[in-house]
Amino acid sequence: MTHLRRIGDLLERAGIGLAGTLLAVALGSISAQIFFRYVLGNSLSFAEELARYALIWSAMVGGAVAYRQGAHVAMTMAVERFPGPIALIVGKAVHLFVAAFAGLLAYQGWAIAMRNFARQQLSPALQIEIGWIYLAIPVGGALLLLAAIEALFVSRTGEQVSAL
Amino acid sequence: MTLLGSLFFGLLVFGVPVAFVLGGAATLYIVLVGGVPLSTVPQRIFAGLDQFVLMSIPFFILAGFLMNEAQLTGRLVQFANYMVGRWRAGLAQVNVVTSLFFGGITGAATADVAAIGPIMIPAMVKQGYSRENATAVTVASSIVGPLLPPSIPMLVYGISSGASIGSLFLAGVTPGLVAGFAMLALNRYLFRHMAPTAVPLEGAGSSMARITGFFASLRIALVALAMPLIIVGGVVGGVFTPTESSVAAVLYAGIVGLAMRTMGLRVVARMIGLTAILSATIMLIVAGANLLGWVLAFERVPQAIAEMFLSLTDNRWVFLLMVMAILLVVGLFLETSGAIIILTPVLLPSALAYGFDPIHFGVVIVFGLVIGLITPPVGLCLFVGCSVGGVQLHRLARAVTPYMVLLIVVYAFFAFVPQASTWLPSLLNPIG
Amino acid sequence: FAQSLTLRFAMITAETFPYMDGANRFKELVEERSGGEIEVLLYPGAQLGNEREINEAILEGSVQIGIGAGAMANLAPIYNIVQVPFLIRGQTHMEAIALGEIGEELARRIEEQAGFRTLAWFSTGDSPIETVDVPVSTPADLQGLRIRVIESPVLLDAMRALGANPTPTAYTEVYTGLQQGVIEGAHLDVLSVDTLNIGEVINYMTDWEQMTFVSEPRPVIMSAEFFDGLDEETQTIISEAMIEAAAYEREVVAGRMSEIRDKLVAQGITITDVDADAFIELVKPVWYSYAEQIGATDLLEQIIAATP
Ligand code: NA
Ligand code: NA
Repeated sequence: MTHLRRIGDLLERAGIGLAGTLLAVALGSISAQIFFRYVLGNSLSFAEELARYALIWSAMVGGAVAYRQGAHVAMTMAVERFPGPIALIVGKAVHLFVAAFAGLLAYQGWAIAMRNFARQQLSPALQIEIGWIYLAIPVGGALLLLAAIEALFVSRTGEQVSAL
Repeated sequence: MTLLGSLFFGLLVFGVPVAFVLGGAATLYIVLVGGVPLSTVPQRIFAGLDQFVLMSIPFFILAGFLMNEAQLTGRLVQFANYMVGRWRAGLAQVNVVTSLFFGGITGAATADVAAIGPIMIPAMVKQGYSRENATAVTVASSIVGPLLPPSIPMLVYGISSGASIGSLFLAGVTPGLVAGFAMLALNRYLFRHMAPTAVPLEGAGSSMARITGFFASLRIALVALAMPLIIVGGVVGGVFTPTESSVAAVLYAGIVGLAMRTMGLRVVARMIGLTAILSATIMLIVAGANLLGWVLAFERVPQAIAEMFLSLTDNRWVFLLMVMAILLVVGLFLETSGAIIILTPVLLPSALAYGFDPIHFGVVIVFGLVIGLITPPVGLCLFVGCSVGGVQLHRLARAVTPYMVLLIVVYAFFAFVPQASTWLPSLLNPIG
Repeated sequence: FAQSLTLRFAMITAETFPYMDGANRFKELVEERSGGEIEVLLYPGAQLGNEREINEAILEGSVQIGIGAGAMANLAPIYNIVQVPFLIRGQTHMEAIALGEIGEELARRIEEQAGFRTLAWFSTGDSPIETVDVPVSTPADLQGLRIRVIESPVLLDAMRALGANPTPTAYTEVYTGLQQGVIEGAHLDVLSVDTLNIGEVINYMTDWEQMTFVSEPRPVIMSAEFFDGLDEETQTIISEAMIEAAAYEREVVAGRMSEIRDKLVAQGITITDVDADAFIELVKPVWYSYAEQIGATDLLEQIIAATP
């Protein structure tokens, strides 16, 4: 179990780094767009698209990290009123449900990414394969699956992660 | 419809995170009912994330964080203290007024919560407001944005209905302002017991020291106040789009903080990481909502609800009440623009047949749907508020209820008195 | 008799756009001729997603019918040949291409590249150049103007060739972009000018009867695999109904464009005369370089030869 947690810690740190870097890429891209339009008088055609795609990846990776940190918004009012053992079971059931959803995202996301590679669908501005962007879904789904499995086996009681 | 509803509330009550309630209920529905390939799930999650209007959310959050770290927020609060601190509910009022300015510009309620929340909520908490109240004010006041021009929902309604967009923008002005002022009055009442100034003013002793203190705080506050000016001025002056203005806000807060040496590059990097995770939770909710909205549209649920309601009456005013009820219900589940696109063709022909003005009807549709953004248990702005305010959903739901009731009253007024919103467009834009 | 079937027809355009007139006609014809066995459900206004998403949904199987446009060219690059600016001179030229051998060949290559069967060709009308402050008659008038384009390399290159500063802008931001000055002009088709109420924020438009930026034939598409899996009678009902519906749609477009012309003039918009040849000469090199890039030089020459 400690292995599971150590892998989780490592992935979490890498995930924050990756999601943050991608956000910075989006930021730089839109900044460049403004700069090119006014200072150089020539618009960048791909800036908005690059920013959008970077944020798709950032959100999928960041979403899995957020699950590990317990940062997703949930309605916990009812569950908090359940007696201890039942609350624990319900908590595990939630992780199981998320794991199933994540597994489906990973599997179906991988399949549709591969089909898009096969179709050679290009993005309008960057003219790169859309499949590369679609891969964010299975990668994020797999990371989410890992986080949910870890939460199923490793108890994280008494932990409250505030968003701010 | 019943199946989808039960799945949804079942998952929500058992504490499944909202993003996975939205996406999960839709996925279970697809699995149980069939007829749609499962690849629709990743496809719609992708589509939900791949949206132009979403981009400003992480940037506004980051700008707020950087302003905090650069200690600009504290200065802004201090200045606000001098300005309105002696009034009751001063900072709560600042929050609403900021939304009137700011939300008016971006035209997107979620962006308003994301932009103002990280600045105003910590500031209000510092002054002694509870976290949920501070978040509730932020969330409730965010919905004036889509009413004031420019407004994305009004634009979408204009496209769906063929009504003049210029007139629609003007028609939203009065309801937006009245809603804003109503909230100012409510704050005044709700926070009447708040000590006027919880944070002591420097040099509060003599009036001379007070004046000196005011100018000292004004000087530094100007640096902080320049940010909204850049956003407002930049967008109004046509220098950049609302989305680009969010990036300008980040650059400004970052450069000021680094130049004044109130924060270092390491802090900036940490804030970017924090923002990425926080905005991911919001973006996944939007993505989940996109999947659920797609399933609802595919199954023609909104049309079915509308037809069911409309078959119940042939009275003009009962019809209007029904429409309001439909909008409040649909606004809970569907993202605003999507709901407008689906409902306008269903509702508008009947509305015209009953003799309602298409511009007035646009106000009815947009206002009704944006109230759905803050209505518990499901509301996109509510969820964004939970994330940026660090508040639990049910606590925020309770705190936001008085505002919601007030807004519904204001809404009813503008629904039943068409002239209250249409006087401005007919005065300034007689052709439309 | 026809097999029992539900066809979902998705469009990104608003319910008021002529596509919907064509789609409604198709629905009537198919439901009547199949004795109600085939049900057609219409989803206008991008309810089921934007164009790229609808194209994918057709290939994945959740949507059956859509209308190919710019995003389809990312799956079927050959389609770019009818999207190069100023090549197709208007509705007569467009119909000559769509209904003749060029259209057949284009449809064949679209299917080869993307797996879509083209049932018929809709029209989206002609597109003038709309500007806020500068009346446009010659390419010199466009120098340095920020003109909205969609993110398509060929449109960007063409705009640059004309000397403008092409500025990619989302469809829903065109109105506010023009109003606030982020963009100074656009090349929306006449029907979108009307749908988006662009007349409220511009003052000038070029005369689209003298020169149209693009006038593409728009293929009404199904998945070829899905279509071939249907029984023959069903196929015939669908194909014939769509061909009739498309003819009706093109008629509606032509009628609507002349109505809109009167409306815009009444609104106080100045429609300017243009030196069309000057624009065409500047963009011609872009035609040839793109045609070569996508292997469509033969089609390009046939399209030029079909100029009325
Ligand atoms: Na607004
Ligand atoms: Na606010």
